[in-house]
Amino acid sequence: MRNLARWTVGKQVAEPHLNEDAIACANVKGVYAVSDGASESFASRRWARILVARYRQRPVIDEAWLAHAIDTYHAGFDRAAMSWSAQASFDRGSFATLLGLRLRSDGVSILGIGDSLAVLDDGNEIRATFPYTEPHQFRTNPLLLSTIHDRNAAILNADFTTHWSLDGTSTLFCMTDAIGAWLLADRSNRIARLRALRTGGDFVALVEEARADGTMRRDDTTLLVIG
Amino acid sequence: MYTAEISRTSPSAFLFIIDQSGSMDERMETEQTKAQFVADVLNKTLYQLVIRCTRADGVRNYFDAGVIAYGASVKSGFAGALSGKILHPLSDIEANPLRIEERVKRVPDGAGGLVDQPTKFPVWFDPTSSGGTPMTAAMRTAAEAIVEWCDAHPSSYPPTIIHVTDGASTDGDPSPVADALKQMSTSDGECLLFNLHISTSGGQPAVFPSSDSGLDEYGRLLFSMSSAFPGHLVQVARDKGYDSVGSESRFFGYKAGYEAIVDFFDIGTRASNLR
Repeated sequence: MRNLARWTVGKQVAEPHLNEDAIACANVKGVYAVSDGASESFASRRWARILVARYRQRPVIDEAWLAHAIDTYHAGFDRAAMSWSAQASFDRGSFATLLGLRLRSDGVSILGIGDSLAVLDDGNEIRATFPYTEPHQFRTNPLLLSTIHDRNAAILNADFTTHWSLDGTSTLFCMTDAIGAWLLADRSNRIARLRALRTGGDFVALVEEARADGTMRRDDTTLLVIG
Repeated sequence: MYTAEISRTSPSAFLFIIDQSGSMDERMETEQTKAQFVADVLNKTLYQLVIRCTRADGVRNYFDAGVIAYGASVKSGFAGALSGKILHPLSDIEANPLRIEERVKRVPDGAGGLVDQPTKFPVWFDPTSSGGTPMTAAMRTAAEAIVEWCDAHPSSYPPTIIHVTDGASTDGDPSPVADALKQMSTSDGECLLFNLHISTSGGQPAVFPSSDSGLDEYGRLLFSMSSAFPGHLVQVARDKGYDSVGSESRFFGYKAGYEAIVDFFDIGTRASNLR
């Protein structure tokens, strides 16, 4: 299997530099990651990019992994030189999801922290989704990876993984929450829309249409397809 | 209604109307005067609003904010560069506090211990208490600012007005102006007017009541001046322990103590749909 497509569109199509989603792929290693930086945090675009890059480099999360990621994040800032508001916002931290996939000989191992969604499709129907299975779950406040060490204790002490078996018909879709909630609200019809996407232009058109008819929340929206 | 996304091109607004009459010098359970306590809560609320909207690239103007102070006179509660008009973009508020105090807070060091960290805390609003309670004139000043704001932002999430007082109006019945204020609107809904009465004299407090039964005449007046609880804030209030809040509740507090004052500001300034 390999990465077949990776598409992303920001909250405002004309402002891609503000898009706080991030993707990293390593086809040779069979490692893929998607992260969605929380809008209400200081530098979530930077944090999301660090998380996917770190996962691609070493796809096993533990305390040392997180400490390294946080150190990398902090190295980009000089707190003492910040304005009072930047300092206070920096101290509150940045937050992001991390959806990581590792292909193995017996299937795929998935790490799902936060509300980014992995979907297993066999070409006829959705066989599984993780970590959520129902659209209402997207309305809760998920645990997110933080740049504040102590905020990650609950994540390090819990299991956020699952494993799926794959066969020759399997396609994996990884997506951020706005399109994930949209998909699970009408899964059989909407997975067909995702299967039919061929280009980045198709993806942008689908997102714009769904935003316009009110079925998809306006948020940074990312889709990674592995097949 | 109340579903418009809040962005830099389509901001919302918060306007605080603060009673600074002479009776605000009475002391609360916290040993602070009512004026001191309200000033502290207002400064913290402005601080939280600013940092919620601050990113690595600067302050994003998701909100305009303003303060009307009334007592010996009715005027902007801001001083200096902010005193010339009522509502300001958050970036201007961030850049123009009265002063910035240096404080030290203890924070986790990431290795199981605590470390002192210098922190800057801005102050925009100092406590004052003198004169009468010209509530009607204050509401009229608010209405003038809000009608202008709604004209300039016709499709934004409508403004939220938070009014804090400890006494009855001394310049006539404020309810006709308050009613007019509540009827001002954008295409996303009518303005939200939240009233908080604070007291040091005891008596049964009423926070977010769904009817005016049991309230005295003044309480009924403020109840009638208050907007219904917007749906998206109901769960926020329940999460803070106000389990009986529902769509019939009014965003109103009567004879509130210090805990309710803090919660009132916190719940009243939550806005979803930031993008």
